Amino acid sequence: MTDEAEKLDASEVLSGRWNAVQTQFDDVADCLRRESEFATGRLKLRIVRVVELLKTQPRCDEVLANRDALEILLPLLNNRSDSPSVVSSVRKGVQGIAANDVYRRNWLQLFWYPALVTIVAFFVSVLLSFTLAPQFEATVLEFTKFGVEPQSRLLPLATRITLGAAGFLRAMWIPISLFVCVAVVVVWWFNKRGRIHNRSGLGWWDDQNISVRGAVAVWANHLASLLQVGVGQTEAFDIASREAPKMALRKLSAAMAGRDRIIGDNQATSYFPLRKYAMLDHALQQVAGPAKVASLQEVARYYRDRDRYVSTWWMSWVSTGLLWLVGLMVLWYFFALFLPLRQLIGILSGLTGFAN
Amino acid sequence: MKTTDAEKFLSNIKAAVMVGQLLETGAVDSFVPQRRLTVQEIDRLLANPDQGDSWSPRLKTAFQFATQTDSMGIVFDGLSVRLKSHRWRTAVLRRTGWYLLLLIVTMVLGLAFFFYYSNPLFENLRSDLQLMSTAQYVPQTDPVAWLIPAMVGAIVVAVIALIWILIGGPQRTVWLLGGRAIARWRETSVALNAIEQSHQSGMTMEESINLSCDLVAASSATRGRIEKALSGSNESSGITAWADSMATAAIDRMTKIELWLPLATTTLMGGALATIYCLLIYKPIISMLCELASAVEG
Repeated sequence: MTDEAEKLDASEVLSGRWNAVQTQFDDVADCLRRESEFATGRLKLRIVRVVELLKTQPRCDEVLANRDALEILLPLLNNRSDSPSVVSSVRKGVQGIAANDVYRRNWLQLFWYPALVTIVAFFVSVLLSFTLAPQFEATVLEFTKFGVEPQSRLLPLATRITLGAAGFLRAMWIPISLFVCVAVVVVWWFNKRGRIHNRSGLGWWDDQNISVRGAVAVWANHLASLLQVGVGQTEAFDIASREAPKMALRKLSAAMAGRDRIIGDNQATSYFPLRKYAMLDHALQQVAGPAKVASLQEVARYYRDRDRYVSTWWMSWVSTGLLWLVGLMVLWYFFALFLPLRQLIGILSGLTGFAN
Repeated sequence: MKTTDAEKFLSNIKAAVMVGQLLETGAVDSFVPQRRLTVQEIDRLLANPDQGDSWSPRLKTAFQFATQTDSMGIVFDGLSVRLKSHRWRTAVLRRTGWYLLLLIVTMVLGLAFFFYYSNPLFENLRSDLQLMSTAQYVPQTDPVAWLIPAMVGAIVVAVIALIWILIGGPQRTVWLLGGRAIARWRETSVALNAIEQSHQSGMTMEESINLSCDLVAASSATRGRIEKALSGSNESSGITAWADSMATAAIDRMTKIELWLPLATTTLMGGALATIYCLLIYKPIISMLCELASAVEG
């Protein structure tokens, strides 16, 4: 299926426009390089990638498969009558890329604060397990010498778990820290490598950090751009399947292309059975034409907004959730450390005759 | 300079200042705002609107821009962008400061409780137990022994913090954490909008760049970047796309700093304080119990 798509003849898909645009690659690359002075962060990285691709004089199928390059060249490829200037087309294309960036407000932001709290809590626990826990254990041991009660019955389960965890932390805190550091470096390196080698331009971690809605939005937008330049729906599914974020979406998109090859497209059949994606299904079932492209773009925009809304909603719960967590921790320590102390004082009073 | 135009321009500026717009006319290459416009100063200029020589160079640029493009909105943006960035930095610092203040107040209350309530209780308990015949050895845990070094340490930390605040440390920290990038992106965004507007009203690209950069009092780095990117092209349509992208990038970074700076500071400080407090409360109880137990055993 993929081989078939790669054999696509540029002139067949885009008639004469491709040849005209091909001669402007150097101008487009120059303009992009110059104006990337105004781009920041991820947008700059994506623009630099497009410049690098254009320098290699890519084939038509390479440009169609590259979302960002297609978005930049879209105003030029899409033009049927007058000839727009390279500069204004490039600016329009960049606007398209920037608008379609769902990674900017990715879900990773949600985890920064909990991660920070976890790190701080880890080091506080390590410190306490070195300073407080041994003395606490020694005290309990002293009491067991009186033969009052065996240690296991004297201490509540929460205390034993806490002391066990403190012992574990004391013994293992260096290996745990090293493991976390190594894991972070490995994930970072693996992700960076994936960004270079994967066709989608996304590493493993990037792929994990994009929501399904965000991925569907990116995919729908790519599909709309492909349909806009005149690629047929079946081929569009096939090309979009190679670049889509999320493995499941890549497979689904390829499967759609396979199914359309057998039963033909526009058969009013359902592509996305889930109710959540009914809008996308509706857009896909429309008859090919500008209205379908506009619907797909609108659907992509809707899912992007929805993704932003959902991540903001979760974000608003982070601090409340953490407050609960800290509250529960305080309660745990109360039961684990404070109540046994009270018990020990009681025993001590009994021993010294203070109880009476 | 036509008197009527100048009067109209100054009246617009005055109206904006009166409704609370922050405008400044300092032209020095710096990210720190200078010469904030006040109603009195505008009234003074309005008294003799035809004496354009007494106007500051940036106000003259703003007037030139307003008469050539007829868009006061961009003029207001240009004269306020640096002040707004500065205001934002102060607001973030104030909010972080409030969080930290709450933490410090809680810590002081906690310590007061420890010194005036729980520690005397322990001390009484100790002195009582010392009288008992069963407890042959109860060690001294006079808090003064460790309190004085702790207080000396706290004073040293407080003095360092004070010096850091006095030499502008908090501002500098926000600056390094992304405040500088935000200020740069915001001024570039406004300048790009101004360039498109002035170019479309008939100026050459070079004139537009110079006038717009003067309007926002762009730093030399920003000016250089804009010249490098736009000098080759003579087309302004679509420049606002870049302006929007830079403004969005600035807002994103601002949201991140606003959210994470207070949270990160309070988490780190809070974690440290929780540890200190935990040690302060638990350590004496546990050590006393431990020593008493050994004493009883002995």
